[in-house]
Amino acid sequence: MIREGAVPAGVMEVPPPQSEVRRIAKVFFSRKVAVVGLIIVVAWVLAAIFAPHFTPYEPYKSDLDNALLQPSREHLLGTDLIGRDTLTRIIYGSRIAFMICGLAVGSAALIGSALGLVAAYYGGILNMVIMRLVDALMSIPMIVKALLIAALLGGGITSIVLAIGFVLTSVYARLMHGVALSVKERDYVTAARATGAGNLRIMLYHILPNSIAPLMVQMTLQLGFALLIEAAMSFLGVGMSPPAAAWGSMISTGYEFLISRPILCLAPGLAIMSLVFGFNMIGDGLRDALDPRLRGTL
Amino acid sequence: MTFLLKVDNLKTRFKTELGLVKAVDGVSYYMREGEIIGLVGESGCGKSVSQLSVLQLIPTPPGEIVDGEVVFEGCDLLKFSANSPEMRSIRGGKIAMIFQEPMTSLNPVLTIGQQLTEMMESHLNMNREAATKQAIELLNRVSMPEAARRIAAYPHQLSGGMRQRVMIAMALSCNPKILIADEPTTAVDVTTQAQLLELMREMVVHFNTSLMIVTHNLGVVARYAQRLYIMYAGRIVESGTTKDIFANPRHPYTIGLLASVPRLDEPRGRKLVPIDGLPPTLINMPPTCAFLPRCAYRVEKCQHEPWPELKLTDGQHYTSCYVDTREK
Repeated sequence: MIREGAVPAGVMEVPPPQSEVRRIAKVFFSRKVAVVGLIIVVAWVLAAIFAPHFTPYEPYKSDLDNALLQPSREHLLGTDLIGRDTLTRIIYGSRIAFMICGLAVGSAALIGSALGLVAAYYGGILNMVIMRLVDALMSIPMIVKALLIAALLGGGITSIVLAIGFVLTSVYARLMHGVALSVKERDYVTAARATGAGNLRIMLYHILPNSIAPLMVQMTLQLGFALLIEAAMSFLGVGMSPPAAAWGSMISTGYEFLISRPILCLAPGLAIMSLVFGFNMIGDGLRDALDPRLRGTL
Repeated sequence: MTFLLKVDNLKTRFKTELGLVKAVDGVSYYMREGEIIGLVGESGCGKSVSQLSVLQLIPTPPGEIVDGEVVFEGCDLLKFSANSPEMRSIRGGKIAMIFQEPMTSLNPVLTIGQQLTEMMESHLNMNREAATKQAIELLNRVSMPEAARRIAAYPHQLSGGMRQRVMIAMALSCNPKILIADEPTTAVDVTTQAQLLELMREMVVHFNTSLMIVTHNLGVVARYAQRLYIMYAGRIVESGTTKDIFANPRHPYTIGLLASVPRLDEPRGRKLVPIDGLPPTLINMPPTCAFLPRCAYRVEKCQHEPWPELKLTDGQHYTSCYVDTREK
């Protein structure tokens, strides 16, 4: 028998004051690799934002008197064929890199996860159509798809973003589809339906937030991948058109002087490598931090 | 007599690779206003499915409600499609449900406040502030300590009992006519069980709600329910007032159930008698009585005749059995 005014269940227990965000941050920052990745990426972000403050040179202005200089105090990484400072171009190139990667990955994640979510939630014929289409697209090698679309759309930043975004979309659709399929069977989804929630509400408030963790990890990892595709496309000549300081096209033009001025290829190559590395390290750290199995262990 | 809810000949089936599962096979029951009734049966007998069918929450496919009527306030809910605005306004607004697992029935990424207010905002057209105020009030009412602070808590920060309190608060937030509690106390420990049941009874009286307790625990309904429905293999095999059923069980299954649980009002040292055999799988059932293989009262007639209909024995007591078990 329970007496009147007995202590209600659960009063004795002290709820952990630690918030979820703080826990994730704690795990993330306890991973050295993740912190290194974060530092690299933040450094590049700062370089991109404050590019004019880091360098006295213009990235696009030619200076034929100083063409193909070796690295020196004036030009830390030398100059290229028409006398533009390599370091300056790399710093400005980070702007293009971030813009393309961010837009491409962002739009791919948005569209891909919407497709996957809808397919998983409604199931049936819609699911069949969407997912088989995604499967079909995935069977074509990524770089081939990207080159094809970029070639069709012509050059320029929009077509590159579209091409890379399209290539990555199927990855998000697949990932979201898988996660949403399992999340939609959870009890709280049925419970939400029993409270009269509609389809849209259930998808946006109950399924999506519970599926977002693997999506975020995938996004950081894909940023590096998008950068690589962009570089490859620029290198192959379907990316940014020549004057633009895209890292890929810098490698491509510097390629001619690989023996005499290896720095022209090496420097942008290292820039790409460091940023991809940074993105991937952050992705690894995030994956650990967002892993629900670690909940409550730290 | 007018009924608040009248379920008639409800049939829900699932198509599986192994065959057709008649999870609910012609269930009928009614509820009056302010009444507490119990639906009792073993795991897998179709109790939960019957309640999910009433709200059309059965995943289709593979499930399908093939027949029956669910008359609530004069209209047949099965005439509405599962996702229609009519059905959605009834779910949570008029008929609310509490689920078995408080651990998993709350969305882990939303605060309990968000989940409580979400419902009031959509059903009662409240604004955020009014809904939040109301949510705190409700949490206080279900004896949630420090409600104003807890409203910002995430489900993982609460214990099972507290989460179930949140579920109760949520279910009652829109002042529903009917509250369906699907094994509300299975996942919590015994003392918490008693508190939660007591709380539900208080709430039901306070909000003038009818309560349906779905459970496999006879002890739970004995104390709280006014009338009982005993379910076996997708059908109701006995119904009547709780008093009648506990005092004079008629169906062999009910007799078996009561013999297998200890009672405080009996001499100490009685051996509990389990029911022989296992509950049937509901796939491709024979037309005869599903309890036949386990029945201690079976007669020749049971082997050949189809499953008997519910018959009135006396007063309000119905049972579906060919044998008059009183004679043995």
